Amino acid sequence: MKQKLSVLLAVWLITTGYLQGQSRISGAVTDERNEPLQGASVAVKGQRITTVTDAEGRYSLTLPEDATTLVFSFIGYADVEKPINGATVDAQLWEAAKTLDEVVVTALGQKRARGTLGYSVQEVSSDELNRAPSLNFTNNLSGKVAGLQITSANTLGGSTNIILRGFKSLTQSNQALFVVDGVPVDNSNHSSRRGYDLGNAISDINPYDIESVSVLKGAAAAALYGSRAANGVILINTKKGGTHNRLGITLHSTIQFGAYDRSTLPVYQQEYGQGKGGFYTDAGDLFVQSTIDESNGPAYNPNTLVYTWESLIPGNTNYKKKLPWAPSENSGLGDLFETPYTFINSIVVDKANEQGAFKLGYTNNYEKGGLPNSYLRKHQLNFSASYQLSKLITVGGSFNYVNEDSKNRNGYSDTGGAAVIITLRQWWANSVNLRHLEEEYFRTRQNVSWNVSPRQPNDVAPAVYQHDNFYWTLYENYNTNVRDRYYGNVFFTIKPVENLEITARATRDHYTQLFETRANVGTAFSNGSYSRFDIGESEDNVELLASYSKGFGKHWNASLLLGGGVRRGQSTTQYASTTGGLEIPGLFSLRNSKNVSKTTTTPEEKDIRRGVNSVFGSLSIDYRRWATLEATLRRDVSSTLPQGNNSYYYPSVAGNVVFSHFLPALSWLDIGKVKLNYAEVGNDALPYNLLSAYVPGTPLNGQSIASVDATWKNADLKPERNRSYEFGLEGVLFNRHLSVDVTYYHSTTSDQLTFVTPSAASGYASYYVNGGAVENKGVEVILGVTPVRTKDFEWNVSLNWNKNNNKVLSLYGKQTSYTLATFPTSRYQLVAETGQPYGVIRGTDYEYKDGKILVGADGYPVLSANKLSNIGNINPDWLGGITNKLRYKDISLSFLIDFKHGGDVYSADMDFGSSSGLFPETVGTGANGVPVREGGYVFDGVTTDGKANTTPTLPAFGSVNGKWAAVSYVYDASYIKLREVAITYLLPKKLLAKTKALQEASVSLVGRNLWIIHKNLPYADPEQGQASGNTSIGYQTGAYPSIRTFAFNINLKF
Amino acid sequence: MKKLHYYLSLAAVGLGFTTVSCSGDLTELNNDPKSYVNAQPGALFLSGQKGLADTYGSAAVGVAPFRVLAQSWTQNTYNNEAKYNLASADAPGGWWRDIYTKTLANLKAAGGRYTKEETNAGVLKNNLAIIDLLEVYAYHLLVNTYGDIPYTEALQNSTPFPRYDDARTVAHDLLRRLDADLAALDVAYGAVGAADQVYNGDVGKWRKFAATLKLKLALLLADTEPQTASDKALEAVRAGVFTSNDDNALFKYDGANATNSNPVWQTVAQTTSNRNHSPAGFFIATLQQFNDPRLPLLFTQNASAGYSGGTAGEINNYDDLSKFSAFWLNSRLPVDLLDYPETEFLLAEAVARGIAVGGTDEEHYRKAIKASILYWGGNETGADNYLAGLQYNPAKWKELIGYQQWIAFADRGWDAWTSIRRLGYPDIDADSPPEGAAGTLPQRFNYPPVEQTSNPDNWAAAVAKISGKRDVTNSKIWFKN
Repeated sequence: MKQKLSVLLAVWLITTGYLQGQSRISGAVTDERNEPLQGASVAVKGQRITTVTDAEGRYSLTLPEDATTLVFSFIGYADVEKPINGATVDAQLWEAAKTLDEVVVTALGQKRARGTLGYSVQEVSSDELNRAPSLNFTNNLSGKVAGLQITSANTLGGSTNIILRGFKSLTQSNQALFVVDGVPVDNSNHSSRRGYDLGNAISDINPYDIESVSVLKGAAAAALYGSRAANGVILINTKKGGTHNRLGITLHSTIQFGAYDRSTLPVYQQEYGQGKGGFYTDAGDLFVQSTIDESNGPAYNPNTLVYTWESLIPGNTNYKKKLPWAPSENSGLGDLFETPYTFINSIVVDKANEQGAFKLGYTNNYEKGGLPNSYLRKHQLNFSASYQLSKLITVGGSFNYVNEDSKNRNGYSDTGGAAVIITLRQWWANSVNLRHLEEEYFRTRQNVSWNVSPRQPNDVAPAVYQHDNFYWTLYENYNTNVRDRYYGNVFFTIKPVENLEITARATRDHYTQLFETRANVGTAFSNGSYSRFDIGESEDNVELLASYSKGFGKHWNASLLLGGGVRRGQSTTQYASTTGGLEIPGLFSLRNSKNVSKTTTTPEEKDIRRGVNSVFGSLSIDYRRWATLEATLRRDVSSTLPQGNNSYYYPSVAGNVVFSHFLPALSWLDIGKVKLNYAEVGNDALPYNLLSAYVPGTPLNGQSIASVDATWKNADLKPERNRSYEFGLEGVLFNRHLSVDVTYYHSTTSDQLTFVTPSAASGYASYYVNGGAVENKGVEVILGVTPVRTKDFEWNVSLNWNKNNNKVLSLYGKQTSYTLATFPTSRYQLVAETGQPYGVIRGTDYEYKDGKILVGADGYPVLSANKLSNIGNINPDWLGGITNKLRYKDISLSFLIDFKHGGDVYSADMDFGSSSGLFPETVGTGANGVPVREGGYVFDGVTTDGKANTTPTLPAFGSVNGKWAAVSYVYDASYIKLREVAITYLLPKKLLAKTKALQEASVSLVGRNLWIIHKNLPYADPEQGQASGNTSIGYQTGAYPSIRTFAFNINLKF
Repeated sequence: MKKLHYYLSLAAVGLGFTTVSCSGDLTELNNDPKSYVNAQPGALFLSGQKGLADTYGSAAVGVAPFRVLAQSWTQNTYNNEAKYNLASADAPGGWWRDIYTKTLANLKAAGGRYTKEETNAGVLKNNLAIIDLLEVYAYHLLVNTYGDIPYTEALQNSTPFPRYDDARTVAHDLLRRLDADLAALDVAYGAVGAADQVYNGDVGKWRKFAATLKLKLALLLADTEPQTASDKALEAVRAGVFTSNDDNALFKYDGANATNSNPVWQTVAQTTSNRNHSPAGFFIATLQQFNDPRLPLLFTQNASAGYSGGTAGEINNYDDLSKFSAFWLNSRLPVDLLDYPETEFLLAEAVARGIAVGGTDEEHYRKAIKASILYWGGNETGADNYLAGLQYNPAKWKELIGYQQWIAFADRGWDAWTSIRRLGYPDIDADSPPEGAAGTLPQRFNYPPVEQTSNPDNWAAAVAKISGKRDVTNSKIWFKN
């Protein structure tokens, strides 16, 4: 726009015949550290006279006599205008990020100066994002954006939960929408299938291809996305090819190693071994209770000789031998894991000239997982190009191809997958040596387990009782996942008249995915099985955008944007599995079904389509960039809503004033801006939920079976609606040493589209309705401080902080509580309750007296009767991150401390692991001198008279025993983590100049997740969740330990 | 060149706006190409009937742990239900859910579809009566498990949160419905047909089923409303109850796959199942005491060539104990919903209570036992020898009928439990209390915990009517004094 203004001014100057005599001027241009700035452009305002600065930052120009002002500019820096009042004019330029001239990408890819925005947009640059790279770039957003809650998993290629400004929808997705260069990119998580974490689809985006990430946090910023804007939008802008007329080559290499954080691994007690109470005896011999998967057995005594599981296995070195009853080494979860490592190699070539630009990139990732026999491999190919056919027309497009292939994706739930971890955290005998299990598997290639029956040694290998050998599970019962994806766009832009630009764009995102699970013959409770899950996802968008801007008078400018779009999405899935077991062991094929002659289970098949047609527009008027008013309106017609009632309007209005222009007297105030906005956005219904259908069953005795759908569908649905306002202040203070951005936001999401759980007496398991409202309000603070800034040394601190208060205002009908999830192993639930935050943990609790747990005369705590209580809340009180960047000459050090305060988690690991006697908390000597396990346990509480309980009992750890309540295993999930540390050495330009080829080179040493500085959850990472989705937080079972990663990166630019 | 640009831009604009404005096909996108918009009424009928059989015959701890409660079976490693801890697997929720959603919802839908599609008025009347019989059966399981239940407002699409009806009122209405069904069933017309996996559409058999069910429901009122019980029982007998094992209401499975296999087989024999169930020691000891010929029919000998069962509430070693016989380990074993042995026990009880249904209580008692032995695969001689050794004492009818009925109900867990609750024998609390049990044998199920959150007002109103005003398993059930 600035350019347009200058052109206008030039025209005006020329026509008024202001041209007169000439003179000469010179000066120097420096950056904010007073370093000379080479290549900065210096122009006479309103004329075509320009020059660039030399290596010392100096310039000289011949001036026409009418010249009054010079304009200094440099890429990435804010323009500076200086009056010509002498023969020498010097200028100091500031990085644009510290000013309001910084250009940010907003909705629909519009490039806007930050100063003209009336809503919050936070950008994360490529440098910040990839300082400590990880395969899923969304993990790298953690702690860098105020209001963004990132919960990442420690699993191989695992999912990340991405929530902006709190949970807004009770049951619909709360995950932010991702848009890559205008292409809405699917971020589905297909993990529901058998409890494996298949990761988010967004991890297909190549982190090295990202130029910047714009986070549109509030509804006003995202309003142009209408019915999919409810959860905010994360815009990803990829690198667009060179800006220089020569071939550029960029190489990148990362080698990364991982080490498990010991504070997130369970510690076992060393006093009692496998069993429950005692040994099995037979003819005077003692046998370990190998059918029992607990460590509640007899106290260790090396003088006692017993037969263990190893004594029962023919061929084992200890076969038929009695062994001393002693704790084992290598019996822990940490002994299962191998060293994870990752290699990333990437090359990008690009070139540009006056007519166009192209970029071609390839990245290869290989990640070896921590679980034995697991890996993830990924190839990413990115191509983009644009070409100016004439002055009026530009065409271009991009094409991206991703192929991912992985083995042994990590399981996360007790309904599948995580069995190995769950066993080692919950149902495990600490007297078993993992190395011996490994040896036995590789010696026999059979499922030789520690948990076997019968117990007498004979010449036949005993049958697995319940738990398989872990190595059998990982090497014979492995899963594989392959995803093939392409996404991209083509566009056509025409500028028929000045200031009018029309773009037509077609985008497509498509992938196919195949997930296969296996269980070989010999697995406990199984005759073997094989299943395949085929997924196809696609989304097509065709959009037409017209933008026009026009100046009015000297100071006014108006911009108009009009557009329309058509979106079509399709999601297909097929699932099929063998029945009755496998005919031939090790052959994993549907045809190898034992029951193939009878019948196989009915394959599941889904074909879900949806479409939205929309028209939208925005009008923005600004006055000298001092004040801007912008209004948008979008109309969406959605296929998932009832005909005749399927079109809805989503409006927004936003304004801002750069008030510092009016307060020149305040010298400490460099820039001050206030913003205010209101918006309504939505969320349409899930497809196929207007009409009830029937569900076919497997025919019985030749007769067909059909059942009523478990969900009552609703022909009166309307979209979920989010109304929000936002108010904020932005300022740059004290000679640009401090920047502040404080935002208050408030949003209410009403007409919630929910599957409510009716009484089963209705005949249905769920009803799909509009009902209920959720409120989110909060404050975001972004602070930037530069305590020191000298030529050689600079220190920057940036802080992101967010406090979100979430409240369920109402629920459908008379319900006061809505069950979001029932944790699989137990009755404990995650609920939304009116007046409470979204995501309250409900479970068994105690009776209390004066805030302390009431203990009965028998020494056991008194359980609260007949009702589940609220025993936790998953929402953090506040969260944020602090980044420190220190630079000394060419070496820089940065570290990010990421923190979350509050939010609870129920740990099934601690609950069940305690009941099976795994942890040190379950042993020791009680106050009465009697070992805890023999009746010396004194429960910490008070008796009815208010005095501390002193009655010792036999222990009853774990709520599963019915004497303790689940609340005993709810923990505060707060943490403070040293998330990223990066030391980067930028090779000096002088050195590079000697190579004659290298433009830029850097090496860096990076660590991620190095240290959990503070946490309250024992033996696990409080951040570890259950894949992603609304119910992925607040519950841990089979939690993967946290991995510290150390990486070495090399970046070379030719 | 200029012209080209002009046309190109015009084309782009045109293309854009045509795609934007053509929204005619949008609503069609919402028609699921893979879903069944319609279903055959017979398919829905079978779904409902199978739902009833699957649920009633279930051995899943999260649905029907009744065999374990009644101690014909017990649990080995995971023994919550054996200790009356029903919360962890939530059997009260599962039983309720499966009867309402798998059984009643499908039966209701079948009725609706028959009404639309069946053109023969006589057949339609029969179809609806048979559906009604199955519904009455399903509701009797509910009302006699929980007490007050949603009934008049249940299964109404517009009512996700139905109120609960008084148990006694429901019980009376069920008897009224049986009368209506008996009047409606007309053997001159056919019914349902092959979709009926119990009687293959035999209307005469369904009449007998209706009469027998009426006798059963009548006697449930015997303690609290003896006159009604007597009247209804006499009416039922006059209508013609079961007279042989050929009348038994057996739901047939084809065993072709897990879902179409007998529910017990699914729990104890299917490969993916666990070895958590064994015969209960108390049950085996009782059978051994009388040298019962059914013992070898029901269970195998253990490793040391004897019979032994697990101790309720203790951790038992599956390998040491007797196992289930081939009778149970049969994927095609039908689920027995209502049978002739039970009919004779009911008649014996009626006579013992002074209701003149004909014959003596001892005659009916002996007929019942013999029919039970034959049902389980025993022979006439074995049955006669056993009966010869049994004494009947009319003064101890409750105990004698109670024990024998309990044995006969070895695979009909819910009825075994209900028989104990009604007659008081065997006295589990006194004679075989589980180790570490949480209280006494449940007299009812608590309401599903999910009702507390999803249907709170109606749940609270129902709980307020329970004696003691607490939704617990040891409060009195409505049919007891």
